[in-house]
Amino acid sequence: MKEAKLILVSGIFISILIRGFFIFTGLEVGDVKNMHDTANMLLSGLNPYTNSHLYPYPPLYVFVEAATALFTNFAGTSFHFLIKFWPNLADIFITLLLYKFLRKQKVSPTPAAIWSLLYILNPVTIITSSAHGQFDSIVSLLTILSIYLLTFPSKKFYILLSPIILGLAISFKANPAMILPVFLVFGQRALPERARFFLLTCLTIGIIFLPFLLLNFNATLVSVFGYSGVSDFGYAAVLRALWYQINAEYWLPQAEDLIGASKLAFLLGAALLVILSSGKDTLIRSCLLIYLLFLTVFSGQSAQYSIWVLPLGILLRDRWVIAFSFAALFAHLGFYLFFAPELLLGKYFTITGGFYQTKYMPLYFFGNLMLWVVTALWLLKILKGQWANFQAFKKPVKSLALALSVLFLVSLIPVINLTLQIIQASTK
Amino acid sequence: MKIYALILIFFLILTFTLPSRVLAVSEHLNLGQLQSMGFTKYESVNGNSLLYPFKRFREKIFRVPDQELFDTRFNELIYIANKKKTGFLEESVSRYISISGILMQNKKSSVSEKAKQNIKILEKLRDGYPANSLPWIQIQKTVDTTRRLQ
Repeated sequence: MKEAKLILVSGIFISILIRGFFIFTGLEVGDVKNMHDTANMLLSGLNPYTNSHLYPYPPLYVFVEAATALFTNFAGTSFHFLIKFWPNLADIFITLLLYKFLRKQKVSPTPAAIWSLLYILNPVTIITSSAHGQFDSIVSLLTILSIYLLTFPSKKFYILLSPIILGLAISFKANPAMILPVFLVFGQRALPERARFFLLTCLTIGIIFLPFLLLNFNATLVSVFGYSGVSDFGYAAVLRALWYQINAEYWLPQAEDLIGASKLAFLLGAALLVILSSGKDTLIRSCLLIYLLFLTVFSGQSAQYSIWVLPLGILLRDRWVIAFSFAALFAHLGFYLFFAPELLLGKYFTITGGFYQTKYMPLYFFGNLMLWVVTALWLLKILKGQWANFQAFKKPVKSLALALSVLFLVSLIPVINLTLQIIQASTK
Repeated sequence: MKIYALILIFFLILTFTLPSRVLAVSEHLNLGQLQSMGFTKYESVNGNSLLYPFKRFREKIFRVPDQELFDTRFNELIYIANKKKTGFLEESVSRYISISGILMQNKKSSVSEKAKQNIKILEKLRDGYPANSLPWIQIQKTVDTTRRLQ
């Protein structure tokens, strides 16, 4: 036990040192600059959503950004330095929560500590929180906490707290909304209990959205729900790299069409996975499956989405998380070195030779190709285990699952068609 | 069994919807015209390819002779300039000028004949672009450098 705690503390300490380097050498660029602009708008009494494309996320983090901006003025320091404190703090809490969660699952202390460190020392979480300054780790922390409270409800209050925390997570970033249905169908619970969970989650989101909706209803909805993502990662990145070969154009002209087609395919696939999860006590596995399906099928992905699956994979002690981390590291390096070296290396970014250097495109291509293959194989591996549940279903549920399977496969056709068109045009 | 049937149907549908649109290849001169001026062949891997770093790595490992590298860089430049891949032209030009500079330093007189031929091809390709446009100027730079090899 003592040895485990020593391992855990040492790992967190080493991670803080590495993260400190990225934070201290960082610059106020990219998303962090947008966060500062958003905070300034709010502090000036304006709704940040009226400036389209500035802030496409739900509103809760806006308050964190505004508070950070206020404190920055008070302390006379840089905004980019302080704003990165929050996601990194969340990473430390995730590590401790993972350890506690694994111990509750009867994992021995030392393996539990080592698995937990796989998160905090993971280069992908370090790059996302410390270099890029994205706050997906805060969302992951609240999501894992919500799962924990629902999995180990030692107090009745926890059952009520779980949906509120999930609602808070969705109010930071919308991605946990895609796993909300899994929370609703999970386990053997009565319908009113499931309805209460749904209502509490929606109520939490509604309260946080309300001031912004009252100020500018349309602008808020368009900013948050009109955002479909960018084709930076996953198979779209592979296609972008192939397209780059034609004439060094790094925007994929068919990106919007691909996002539209892949969104439908993902929604149908996710509906199928929810049915396969219904009534089972496999909440973590089901959430992981939905995220893996998203990363495999949907084309509008950003770099930071890779960290969503890490805590879930670690909780399952699935070794695929290691392969995923390796592949994601190469994909991240390729992405940042080519598109945004200033995000990765801060004030030292000139050592890369500048922006859009062709020499980094192969790293972006092979990294993302490897990441997509690993993600798809991981998805299939878990799905294979989950498919056994299918046999136990009653006939109407089986028919519904089968119908959804057909629809999912049919919805993949335009995605594959577009993909093949891009490959054909890029490699001739 | 149902699963196999589903997969089969899926691939059958896919077969009928496979993309049939192929974009026309845009180029100044066809390979025959280039060869009539003394051009030998395109390289299989050029500066626009995602495999290009592997080619460069192989060259460094196996210490390919400068004269062979000069020919390779020229062939790559012709591919990029002729296929109008202007986004890669600056890098291709830099690489060609760089190896030309090495040959100049080493005073390799054996390339002077080859240089004459290269100038002819480069001038023809340069004239395929509007005068004083960026690609025109970039190719003109290679013409100027190659002249110093004569």
